[in-house]
Amino acid sequence: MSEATGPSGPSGPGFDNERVMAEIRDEVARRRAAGDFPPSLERELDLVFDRYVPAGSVSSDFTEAVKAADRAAYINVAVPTESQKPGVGEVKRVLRKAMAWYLNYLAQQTTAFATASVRAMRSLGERLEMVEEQLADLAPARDDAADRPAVAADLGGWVSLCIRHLPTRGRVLHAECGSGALLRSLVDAGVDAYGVEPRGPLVDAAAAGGLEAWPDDPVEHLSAVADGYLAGLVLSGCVDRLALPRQRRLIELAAAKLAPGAPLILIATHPDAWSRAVPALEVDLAPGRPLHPTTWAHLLEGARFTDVVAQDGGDTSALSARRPG
Amino acid sequence: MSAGAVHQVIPSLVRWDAIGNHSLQVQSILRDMGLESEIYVNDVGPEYAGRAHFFDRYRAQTGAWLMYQASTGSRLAAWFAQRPEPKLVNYHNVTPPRFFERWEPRLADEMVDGRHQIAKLAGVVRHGIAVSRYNEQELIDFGYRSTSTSPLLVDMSRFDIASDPTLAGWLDRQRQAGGTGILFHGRISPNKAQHDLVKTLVAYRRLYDPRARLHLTGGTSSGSYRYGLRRFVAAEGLWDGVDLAGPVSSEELAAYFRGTDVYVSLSEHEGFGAPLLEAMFNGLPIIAFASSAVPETVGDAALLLTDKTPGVVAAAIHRVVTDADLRASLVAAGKRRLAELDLSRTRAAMRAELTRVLEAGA
Repeated sequence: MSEATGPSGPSGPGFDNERVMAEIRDEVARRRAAGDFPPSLERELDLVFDRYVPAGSVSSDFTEAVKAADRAAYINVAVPTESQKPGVGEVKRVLRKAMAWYLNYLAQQTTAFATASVRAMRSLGERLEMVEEQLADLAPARDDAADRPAVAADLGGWVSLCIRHLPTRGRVLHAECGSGALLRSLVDAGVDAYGVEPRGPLVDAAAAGGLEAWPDDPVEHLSAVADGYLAGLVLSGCVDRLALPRQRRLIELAAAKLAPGAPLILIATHPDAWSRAVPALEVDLAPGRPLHPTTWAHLLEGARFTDVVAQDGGDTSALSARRPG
Repeated sequence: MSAGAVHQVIPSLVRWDAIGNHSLQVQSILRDMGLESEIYVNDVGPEYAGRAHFFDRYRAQTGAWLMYQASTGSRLAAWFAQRPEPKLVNYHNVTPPRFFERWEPRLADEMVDGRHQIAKLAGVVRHGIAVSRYNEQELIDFGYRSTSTSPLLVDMSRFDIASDPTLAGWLDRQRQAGGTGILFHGRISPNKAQHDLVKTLVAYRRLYDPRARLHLTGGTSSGSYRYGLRRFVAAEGLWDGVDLAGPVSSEELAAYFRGTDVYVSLSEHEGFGAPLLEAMFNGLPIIAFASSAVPETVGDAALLLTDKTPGVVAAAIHRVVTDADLRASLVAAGKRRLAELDLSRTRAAMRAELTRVLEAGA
């Protein structure tokens, strides 16, 4: 790439963008802590807007997509004729009436085609559902944060491990951060940490405590983070319950989003998770059960993580690793 | 320099189009250099009917070069690629299809084709001139071996026009009634993220100013996105707060720039971002999400956001509206940035670049 030949690019700061933005972030944290604008409201705005995205392109829920297609199948020829401009509404009404015979004819055929297509899709969906029911016994339970109790796990035993491994420079993510107890300890220790948590009441509690916590799914959030952006990553909660493909995806994302040499810490809180007394195969082959540390270590090493160390802490366990430099 | 002519090839030359105006400036530069220069198009608006020729009227000419103004997929790209003349590309960016996949799959497919066309041209053009470094990097990623950057040619004197009096009066009455006026100008398009501005308005009204209004000017690139946006506005009960103005004349746009309090861009993809310059020209402070080419276009003349969650943007608007010093700094920085991008300087840069490329390629 050659040097720019034209006068493009910054010409020197007229004000300190970083300082102003830091003050704005403080203001946001203060207003959130006061309950003026809880993070869950931002999540709600996202959900409301997503309702207007064309059918089937946001939700992967087949039934909802078919319902949306069904709603859209009817072609309404009663074009709105209101207008703020004088006389235009009358012209539109005349045009609508004059063209009704033609548009009705086309609309009836289009509606018939769309309705038949939706019926065929519905029939296909019913057949797929039967197949899924037969496979259900073989598949682990689907992860749905909203169905889980809004109770944060106690991670207090792992604060010192995290502080020992995590740097004080660069952004560190804790996913899922619950109500923010570990996040608070990290921030107090000088770590530039923020959290994501899919359960609304918990993330609101974390934000109310002045922490930077966002309502988001860990996998989706990590997908949106720039490659190499994170200086450290703590995973808890999600590591216990995600289905195997999503756990593998989590590891792939951790490898991509961590900066070279940055630490990864996995904390398991499920009582069955990392019981060393139970062999790996026995744990990992049971549907819906969390992975054994041996399996996690294998997955991490497969993703080229180094310095993989597992630690047993009684009710909970942790595993630390480092992305290769 | 042995080139005797450099003719431009542009898919569409229509009024109020930044790329069309840029092409006319390039034509003027080439003619100032003593070269013949005509514009060949696939589509021309009536106001430019005498200034461009349909591409099938092009006749081969000894010593002529061709320069393609690339901003969208077009059948002209294939025609341009097979021409035997030495070739240049002036790249304005083709929007990545991911923004349109959910809303307009057909348009997304066209964008895929458009980007493939630009990539294919890498093998047949001698040099690619991009209007921003961001765009230049895309050319490099497409496989162009020789590239450079020369900014978009924007004639700022076009902004120096009287405001539409009726609209100016309406905006003035709104201002007197209270409530911050927030403006964004750009086509209604998923990559411009007008929906994030609506979310911001919800937050800003709730946190700071219940009478704030959002003005969205510009035509529509995606009908389904516009429809979704309108329904979102209705669902949030914001009919009194969001002005979906649609396409506006230059005079109406001037009224908007002069009758509002802050310009906010949450766009996720801009190849350059010409409306940002118009905001600077009219002394409107800018808050912008730091995406694509936006940071290099605004320089230090905007409060740049790396996070556009509604609460953060709302707080930024509040800060700019209430902090007179910051506002003055942004406006002053805007004037400085405009001076840097003044047409005389950008034309000189483009002329130097064209001279260098033509001499090297001759």
